[in-house]
Amino acid sequence: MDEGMHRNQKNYRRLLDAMSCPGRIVRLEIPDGHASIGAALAVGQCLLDSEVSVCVIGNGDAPALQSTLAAVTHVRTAPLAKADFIFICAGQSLGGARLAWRGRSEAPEEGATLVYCHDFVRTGSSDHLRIRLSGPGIARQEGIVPEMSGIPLEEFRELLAVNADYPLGVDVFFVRPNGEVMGLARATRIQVR
Amino acid sequence: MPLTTAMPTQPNLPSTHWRAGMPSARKRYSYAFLDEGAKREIRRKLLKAVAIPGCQVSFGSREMPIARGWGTGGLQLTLSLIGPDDVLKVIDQGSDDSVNAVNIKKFVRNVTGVPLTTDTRVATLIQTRHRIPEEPLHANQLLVFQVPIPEPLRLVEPSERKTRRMHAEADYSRMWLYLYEDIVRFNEITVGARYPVMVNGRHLMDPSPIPRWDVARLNQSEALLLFCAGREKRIYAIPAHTDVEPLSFEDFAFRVENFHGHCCSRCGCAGSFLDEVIVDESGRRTFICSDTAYCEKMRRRGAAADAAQEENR
Ligand SMILES: [Zn+2]
Repeated sequence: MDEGMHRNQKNYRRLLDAMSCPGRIVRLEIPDGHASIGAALAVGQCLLDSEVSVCVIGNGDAPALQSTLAAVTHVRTAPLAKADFIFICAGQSLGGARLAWRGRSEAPEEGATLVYCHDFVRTGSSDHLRIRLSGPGIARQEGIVPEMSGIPLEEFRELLAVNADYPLGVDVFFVRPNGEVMGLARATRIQVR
Repeated sequence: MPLTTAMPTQPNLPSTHWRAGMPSARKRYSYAFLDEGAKREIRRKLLKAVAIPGCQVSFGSREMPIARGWGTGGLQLTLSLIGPDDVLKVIDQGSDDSVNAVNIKKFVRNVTGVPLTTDTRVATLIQTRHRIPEEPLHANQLLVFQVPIPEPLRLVEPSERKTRRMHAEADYSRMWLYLYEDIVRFNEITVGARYPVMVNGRHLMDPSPIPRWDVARLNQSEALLLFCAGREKRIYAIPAHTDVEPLSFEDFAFRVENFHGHCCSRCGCAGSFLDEVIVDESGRRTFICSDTAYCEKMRRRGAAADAAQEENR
C-alpha cells in the first residue's frame, strides 16, 4: 500500500514534468507483474479512481488493460465521446481521437486526457523529425523535435484537428512499455513539415 | 476515506489557528495528511491547469486544520505534490520566519518528514504567499502560490457565470476599460498588487498579491508556477517558458516599483525588492530586502568579501 502510494507520488511528479515540458521524455516506475500493460497501468494508478471514467480503444491489449484498470483503480467505463480518459492501445487511435470530449467553452479543462500506449519501443521511423513543437514549456522559440519516435504522423495530424479550437481540446501522454512517457498539452503548437 | 480518520497522532502545532478543527481522534495519519482520493483529484486538475496556462480549474477543496485565508489552497497543492525526495521552503511575504510560514512548514514536516530549508537554491518545492524568491529559480523547482482571490475579473464583474463567459470568449474589454479609467482619473495605473496578466496570449490571470516587481518575473520563468485558492477552490498554472504579459497601454507602459536608488541597509544590495520599515520612535525609515533568506546570504557574502580584503591588505 505504502509502496504503491509513494510510487504514485513519484510517477505523478514525472507526469507533471511531462505535461509542463511537452515533447520531452520522462520515465515512470512500473509496478511488477503486468507485462506489456505495466506502464499504462502506472499512469492509471496515478490518475484514475471511481470519480472519473475511462474508455480503452485500439488493438492488442485493450480488453486486458480495460479489465485491469477497472479492477485496480475502480474507474468507471464510459463511451469514447464521454470518457475523461481514453487509453489507446497499440499506439494508434485510427480516428478515435477525433471523437474525444474536448470540454465546454466555460470549462475547457473537462476535455479528455488521451494515453497512447505503445506495445513496443518502435525504432526506425523518422516521422517525428517532421514535427516541430513549440509553445508553453518549450524553451526554444523555433521549437523542438519530439524526443519520442515511433508515433505515426497521422496521430499528430489527428491531434492538430482535435485541438484546433483552443482552449477546447485534449491533452496527451504517449507511453512506452519501458515506462518512458512524453506529454503534449493542448497549448502545445504542433507543426507538420 | 473520510478526512476525520486522517489526522496526525501528534500534531505539535504551535498556534491556536492550527488546532481549530482538529478532532480528538488519535489515529494514524495518511502520508501528507490528505487521503489519496483528494490528492488524485488535485493532481488530475493540476495537469489540466498546466495544459491550459492561466485557465482557472475548479476542484473540491478539503477542510484543513488551519483557518481559511492562511493558505489552505497552497497547502493542499503542496500536500498533493510532496514526496520523500523533496526539500521544502515556505515563505510569507519574503520571510521564512513569519508565524504563517513557520506553522505551514512544521505541519508539512510533521505529516511527511521532508527536510526544510530557507535556501531557495536547494528547495525543490517552495510554497509562497505574496512573493517570488529573489534568487533565480531553476527547472527542477515548483513554486506554489497561495491565492486569496483567483478571479482577475472580480474587480469589474461580481457574477461567476458572467466572468466564466468572459474567459470563454476572451472578452477582457471591461478590464481594459477599468485600467483606462484608472489612467484618466489618476494619470497612472493604480492597481498595485494583483496586477492582471495575460498568459500565453489567451487567458487573463490574477498573479496573486505579489508586487509588480515579481509580476515581471512570471514571464518566461525557468520553474513551473502553480497557483491555488482554497476558499474559491481554484487551481491554475504557468509552465516554464510561457509568455506572461501585464496589461498595459502604449502611453502607460507597465512599470515595476522604483526604490529611487535606495539599497538594503542590512546587506547593501541594490537589485532586490525592498520593504520600507520604520526603525525607531522618531519615525526614521530605512529599506531592507523583502526576501530575508536572500538578504542573509548577501550579508554573509559581503562579510566574507570584506574579510578576504582585510587579509589581502
Ligand atoms: Zn538585504
